[in-house]
Amino acid sequence: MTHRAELAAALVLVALLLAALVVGPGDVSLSTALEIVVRRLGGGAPDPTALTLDALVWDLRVPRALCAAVVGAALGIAGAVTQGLLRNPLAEPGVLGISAGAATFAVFGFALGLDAMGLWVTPGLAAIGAAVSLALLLWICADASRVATVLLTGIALASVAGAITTLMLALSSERWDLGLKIVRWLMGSFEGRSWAHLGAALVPTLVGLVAALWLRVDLDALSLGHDTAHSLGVQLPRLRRVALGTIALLVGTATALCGVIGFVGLVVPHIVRLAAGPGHGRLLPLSALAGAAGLLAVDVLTRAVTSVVIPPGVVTALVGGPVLVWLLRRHGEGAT
Amino acid sequence: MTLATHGAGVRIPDGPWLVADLDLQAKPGRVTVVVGPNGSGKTTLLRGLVGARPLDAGTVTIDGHAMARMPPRERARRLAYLPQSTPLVHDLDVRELVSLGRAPYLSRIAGPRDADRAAVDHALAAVGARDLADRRVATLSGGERQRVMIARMLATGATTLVMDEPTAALDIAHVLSLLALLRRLADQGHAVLAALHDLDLARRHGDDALCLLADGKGGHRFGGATEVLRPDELADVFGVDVTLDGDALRFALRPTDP
Repeated sequence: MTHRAELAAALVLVALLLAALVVGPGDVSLSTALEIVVRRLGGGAPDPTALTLDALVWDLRVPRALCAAVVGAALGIAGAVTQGLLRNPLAEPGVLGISAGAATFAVFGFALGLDAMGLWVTPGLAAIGAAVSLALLLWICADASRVATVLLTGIALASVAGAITTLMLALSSERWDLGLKIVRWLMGSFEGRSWAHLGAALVPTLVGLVAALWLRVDLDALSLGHDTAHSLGVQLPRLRRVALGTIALLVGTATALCGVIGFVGLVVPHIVRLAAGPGHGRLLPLSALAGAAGLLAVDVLTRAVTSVVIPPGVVTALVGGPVLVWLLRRHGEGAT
Repeated sequence: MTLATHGAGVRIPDGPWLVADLDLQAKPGRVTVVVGPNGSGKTTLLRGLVGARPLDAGTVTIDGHAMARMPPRERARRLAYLPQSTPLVHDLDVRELVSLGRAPYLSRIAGPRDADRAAVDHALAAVGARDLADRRVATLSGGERQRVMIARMLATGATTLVMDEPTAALDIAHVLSLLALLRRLADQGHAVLAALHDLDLARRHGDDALCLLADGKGGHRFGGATEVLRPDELADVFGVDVTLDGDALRFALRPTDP
């Protein structure tokens, strides 16, 4: 088996990481930026004659780029697992309201001031919210084989979660600082994401990737239907539990770090399948790579085009929405 | 390996029994057919036999081992199941599809081994589908597709094969060639248990037969195919006139009373 797709995705990701070092306000050449990165990676102290430049590259751009990549990877894996679990190529945490559930719980934490307790609180709450949404979806759609039923149920869940979030926002309108914080967070951004944020996102994303890979044989078998998967030795209740926990962990991590970002988990696995086929052994790591490259590309391109801060979720939705419609026309009718 | 049920029963939830007190044996070397009117519970029973739904009464054993207590992967290596339809989510090629039959052997860490690839080749050869290996499943004819689905069952190494209407939606040439394949598999030592809707073909190609009576009490008959699928019995169960013409069953609507 050749690994051309893996190699290509990795190269694109590296190229984007390099681009992320030089794109943005402040004139930094690639060689200067690389010099700083190499020095700091080697444990060296910042150059005392260029402290601002050092801080710009090492404390702002590098963690920001890596955060975007990790969030993209988490969303790519979460999308692939969601599609496999629901046997539905149009399923995605954003479309199905799983991310919305994560956001609702995170905002709840803000409203109660829980997030001051530590960096892990918001991701934790977001993961619980994602788990609750997905558990509700699985429960409601237990016997639904129709693609459209699952999507419509997800839309209903997303509406309810969105309404609760808006309600909390309305109730906090007396407190401007809180309201502003919630709105900023909901819009999502990679602005000011630090090494601490990166650490908090990287570990759960790696755990999610390992858990997803552990499920790969089960997810492959499930593509033949529940009864056939069962006859092939797949323990469906356990598969559902582990997949639910994995998706919740990944979506919670991504949402907590930069708000609701939709459609990455929808588009990325589709592109990967075209290149590498539907087997989850390759689909999952490739979706992580391609998701990382995709979301980093969104961040680099928007920063290259404008100095206005544009939430990444806006860009992914502007691209992903039409793609969903196109996929729906291609799959939706035949797959019901 | 012999698949046996002991007092097995399935029912509509809070409703009538579809099958009750069933003692059936599907033995190696024999083709066992399951027939019954629409809605008599063939699919429900088969799903119960393979554990895809719980039985409402009784137990299933494979060579004397209680299936419910068997580790799922071990069960999957002994008992394979083909549902009436297999809607594919993705566009697989034939080899990828048949390889999914190796799921009960695959490690969670390592990839497929040589033994897995050999089993897939062997399964494809056993159903005469070697030349289809690189085709997309979506491009196969109905007959080719069913052969490949059976290869997927064989790739598990299971010797007990349970199939729900494997001949449905096939034209007569493919029906006959599929039944010939089932006979060949039985001759190689497999226990074949298949629901069939064509009573005449079931009678000619089955060694043993289970006929569900659809009487609301779970009534059924099990035994040798020619004994169970007698014209007079079938006439009662299916509500048509049945006669035996040489070796062939003939069916006619009953004249309605004016």
